[in-house]
Amino acid sequence: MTKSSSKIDSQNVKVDVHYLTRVEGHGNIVVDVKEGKLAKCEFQVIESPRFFESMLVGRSIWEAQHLTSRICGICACGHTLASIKAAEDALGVKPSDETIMLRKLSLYTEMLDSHILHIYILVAPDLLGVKSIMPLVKTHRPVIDMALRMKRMSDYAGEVLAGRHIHPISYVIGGLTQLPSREGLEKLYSLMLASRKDGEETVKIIKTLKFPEFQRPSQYMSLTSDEEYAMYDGELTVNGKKSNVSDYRRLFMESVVDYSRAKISKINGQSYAVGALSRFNNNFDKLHKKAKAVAKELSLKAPCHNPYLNTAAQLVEWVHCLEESITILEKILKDGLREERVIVSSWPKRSEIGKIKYKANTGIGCVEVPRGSLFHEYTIDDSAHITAANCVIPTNQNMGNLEDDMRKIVPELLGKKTQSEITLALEMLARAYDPCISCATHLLDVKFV
Amino acid sequence: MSKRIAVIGLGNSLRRDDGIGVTILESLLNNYKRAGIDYFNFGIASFDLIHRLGNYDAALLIDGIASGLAAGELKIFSLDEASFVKEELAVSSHELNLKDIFRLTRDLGIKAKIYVAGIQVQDVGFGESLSKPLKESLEKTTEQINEFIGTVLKSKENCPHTGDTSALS
Repeated sequence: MTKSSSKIDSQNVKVDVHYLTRVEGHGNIVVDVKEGKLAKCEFQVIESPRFFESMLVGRSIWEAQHLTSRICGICACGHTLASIKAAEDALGVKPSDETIMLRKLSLYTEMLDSHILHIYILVAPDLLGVKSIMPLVKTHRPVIDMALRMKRMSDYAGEVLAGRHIHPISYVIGGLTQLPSREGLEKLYSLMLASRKDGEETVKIIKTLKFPEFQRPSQYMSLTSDEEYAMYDGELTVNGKKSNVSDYRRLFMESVVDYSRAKISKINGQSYAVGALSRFNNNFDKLHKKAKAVAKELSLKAPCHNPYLNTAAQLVEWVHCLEESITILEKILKDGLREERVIVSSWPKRSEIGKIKYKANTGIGCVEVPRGSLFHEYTIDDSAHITAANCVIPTNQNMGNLEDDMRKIVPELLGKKTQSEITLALEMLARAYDPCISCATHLLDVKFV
Repeated sequence: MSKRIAVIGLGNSLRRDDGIGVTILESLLNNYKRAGIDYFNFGIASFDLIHRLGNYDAALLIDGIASGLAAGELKIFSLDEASFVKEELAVSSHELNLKDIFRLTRDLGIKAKIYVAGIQVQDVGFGESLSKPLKESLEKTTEQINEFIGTVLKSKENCPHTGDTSALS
């Protein structure tokens, strides 16, 4: 519920958004300005703790990715791949180039899926002045049909590439348990070619919408690579300074705050941002030329310090990921996939279990998922069972940055905007980060009439 | 033309009874798989239901419900028979929650007749096993749902696939 007021008061403002809508899970925005001074400014994550790391302890590392893909209904593929990479690091397994190519394709299609959901379903209502997608079905039906068509394309990609459209089943340590069918790949390719036009239309639409103006330079962290716009692999880069992924615990520090169940992460004592805008800022040169052209059309320049434009960066990434996916599909359809380079069993064969020699080790996996850099780290014993696990989720990393944005923007709006306008500005700011607060259970709360 | 029917299991199998929809889907596939019906494990995704529902004349969603019934009790209903306690329609989940999906489905003019097989949950804490009441009633619940699928297959009235859903299929 939002408390609102139409009177401009530059001295006393109270914002109590409980809960924030159009984000995943439950979070509150609480701001209290007393006599012109910001007394309280918090983004409170009130979702119950997840305990996934505890759930992993004692399990075989060979099943970790199937468990962790349940962390998120949107980034299930990203969690699967971060998990597999951590396991491969711990076990010393090296996947083939063709396997990595398919993994990248899946990451790209997950970006396509999540970004279009955020742009059209979660953010567009704010920019069009309505409370949800529902009114837009009546007022903007062709656009909604287009958004659903774009979503359907990326939904189909999961089905073809990972064995089912959610919670990938065919991606395992070392490779895949089944090859995507040629028929499925051909259909996906044609859907992607058709999506180019929808992407162009989307750029035209987003160009007409006005994002709030706000500037706060921050630290922007993402993977980077000399080879490509890094999503699957690379070095951790913060405003030009590079670190190895294996040093992530030294790079940023997580701490607990008493008003939120999400940890706050800091680099050198300061908040930092991850996600589409950070990737855009750190990797602009590696974008596909069509994505660069879209950035230009949207007047998005790196480095961009307006967090509201994370949505515009998502659209730039959507175009990049579509073009990269088309390139990969063209290569696969031309050259084919060599089964012997990709197919593995999902679990060591029964006859091999006793023969495999494991050594106690720790492995780290990092990939870029729609909301930013995702880390999985597992320690295993000499029977390949997990003894410790650590998962660092992008939304947690963004929470400190969001709060610092709120602390800067609230004084800027005091005396210029009403309490309800400030409330909306803060809601839109939080939604711009595309926060994914929890993996929701979705019990139906039903009464019969 | 024969009726197109989808049976969809929903839920998070790592949150005990929340995974009942997926467990029953697996049980149906193992014991009562019928030709001509498409079965889907949707896990914790929901938005993509919209695409699927547009392809079918009828769909049965199997999910846990919180409805004040006895734990494990099955209630099968069509969307017309239920109202949702929290009626505010701000989209509250990153994946839209189910009541919003249903409303959106209606507003988009998707003609599929949608049924929900709701099973009252007892425990949705973290874990992989069902609570005792749901575990004990699993076999019977699966049988009842299978019987319902049979009635949907035989029914002639629930074949409303006449609208243009080409944008969604």
